[in-house]
Amino acid sequence: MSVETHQQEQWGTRIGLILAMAGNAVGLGNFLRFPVQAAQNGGGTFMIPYFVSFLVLGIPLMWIEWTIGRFGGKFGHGSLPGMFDELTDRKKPWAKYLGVLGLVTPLVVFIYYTYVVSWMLGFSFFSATGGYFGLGQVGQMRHYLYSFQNIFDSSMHGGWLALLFFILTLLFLGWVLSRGISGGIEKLALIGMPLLFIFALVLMVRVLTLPAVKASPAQGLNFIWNPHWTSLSDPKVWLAAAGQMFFTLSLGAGQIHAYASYLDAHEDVTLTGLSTAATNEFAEVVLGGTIAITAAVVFFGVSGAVSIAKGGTFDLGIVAMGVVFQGLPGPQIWGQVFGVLWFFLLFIAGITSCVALATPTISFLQEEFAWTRRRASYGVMGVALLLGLTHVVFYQHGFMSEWDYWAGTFGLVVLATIEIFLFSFGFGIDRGWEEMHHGADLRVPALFKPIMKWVTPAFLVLLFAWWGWSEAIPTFLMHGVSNPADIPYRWASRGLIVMLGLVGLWLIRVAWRRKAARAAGTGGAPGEAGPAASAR
Amino acid sequence: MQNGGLTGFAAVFMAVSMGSVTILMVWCFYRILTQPDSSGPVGGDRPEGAGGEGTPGPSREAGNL
Repeated sequence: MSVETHQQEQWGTRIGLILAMAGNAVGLGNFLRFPVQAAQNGGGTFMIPYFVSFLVLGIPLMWIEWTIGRFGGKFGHGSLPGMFDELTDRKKPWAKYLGVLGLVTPLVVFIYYTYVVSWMLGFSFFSATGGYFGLGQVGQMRHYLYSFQNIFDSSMHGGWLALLFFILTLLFLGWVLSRGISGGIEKLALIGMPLLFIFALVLMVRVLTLPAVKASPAQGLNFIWNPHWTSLSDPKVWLAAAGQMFFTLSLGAGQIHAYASYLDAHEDVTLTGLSTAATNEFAEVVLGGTIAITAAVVFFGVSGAVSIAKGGTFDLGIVAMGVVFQGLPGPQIWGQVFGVLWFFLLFIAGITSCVALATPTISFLQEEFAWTRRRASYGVMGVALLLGLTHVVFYQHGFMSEWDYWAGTFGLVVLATIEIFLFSFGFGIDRGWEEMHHGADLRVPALFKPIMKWVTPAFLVLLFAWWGWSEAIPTFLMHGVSNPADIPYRWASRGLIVMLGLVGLWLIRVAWRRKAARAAGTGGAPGEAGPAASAR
Repeated sequence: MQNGGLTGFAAVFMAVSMGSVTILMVWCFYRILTQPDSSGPVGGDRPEGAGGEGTPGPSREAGNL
């Protein structure tokens, strides 16, 4: 059996790499979370803290993650345990165990995020078949969505229909991932990302040319962009902007490192990294800031859009947009076509992020346990199906909310805080700066060096402390849980994350012991077991 | 139907925000596409010893400037 190692896989083209990285970053949040955040946090003035966060948090972390990833790839590592080990020159045994966050966080997010993405596939199908047409009220559409999410409610759908779409999505992901970096992930991005931009541009034009129903498209844009100057002095607005920057660039989860590890050691990371961030920002600010909220304001008015936005991402993206497509002028078929464009756009945005989320775990299994890519890909899909079933069955008990908060929100900040301290102080900012500029096509302004060393870590510590105090403690104590019957389910959900963390730690321990044994067998010292051993 | 439209400040913030991210993206892609190897394979030749099963990994100094 031939085993394709990490070092034998590479990206095919630079454009493919940029689109794959942009596909990782562009997700549901660009189209659904950003406009809501902007509208709720000062409108146009939100963009001031947003762009400041882009400069002092987003861009520096993006470059650091690319650099760590490419650096780890030189030693045959595609996941954070090995990368953190190398960053500390293999002198700090605990460093590789901190890297467990770079395995568990993306895997946990992958599992529940894939389930959500499969809903978009489902609603693409319902749009094509006209499944929800005739449910023109928000309440009716909400019932349609809730019935789909609750597999025990077959009042609007066949029971367990959500599971069918989840399995189909996992099978597709397994197929793409098993085809490798250039043959699977890159091809998906080369086809998917242009489609996503075309769909989004078509939808943007359609929304901006809508006839006024309860408001005009201009009023919809005004709702998002009208500045509220007093918000600039509100620290919550600045933290909301920093949080949005985190989510939108997919920082602190291990995917960027994994993708960058497949770069050649002499390939540029500065211009390529900036390009992926810029592509993501275009998708978010220009496309995401124009479609969903604007359409909601046109059909429901400002107060109606506010009420819908408060209901959450899915109320805006699925319920409100479902009603909008039914209310479009012209024959029903046009509503169905735009419905397919919207939901399939979200599916593409999500699926290109899913492949990135699965990559750290697949790389780890390939490198440390010599699994074939096919075996690792379908193995991860199997684990995702098994653990994802808990979300399918217990969704209505808040099972997913726990994973979304602890891994998909708080976990990202924890990991990013650790990595920036390891990079700036463990590896050393001078060494890191040189490593970043090796093969660079873009010389990063020197100003970013002190930003990376002092400002970004300080910003992250502030974010970590603020979220820890204001959100993590109340969330841990379940202060916001309205139904006490859900509490045991939520504890079980947390228990699963802890269990995955423990399994991850155990796998790291086993992998490094095997390396040490191999190194001893070839005459090397156990502490020196590393790249050559892991490549075998 | 509600009255009003896009206010001046809202239009300015929207135009500046959308314009700046668009210019940044276009500039990045212009820089990349004008590089001689933009559509070719990433990396080209691999450094000695950096690829292949059973081959030694790169030395610690290999790109670690």
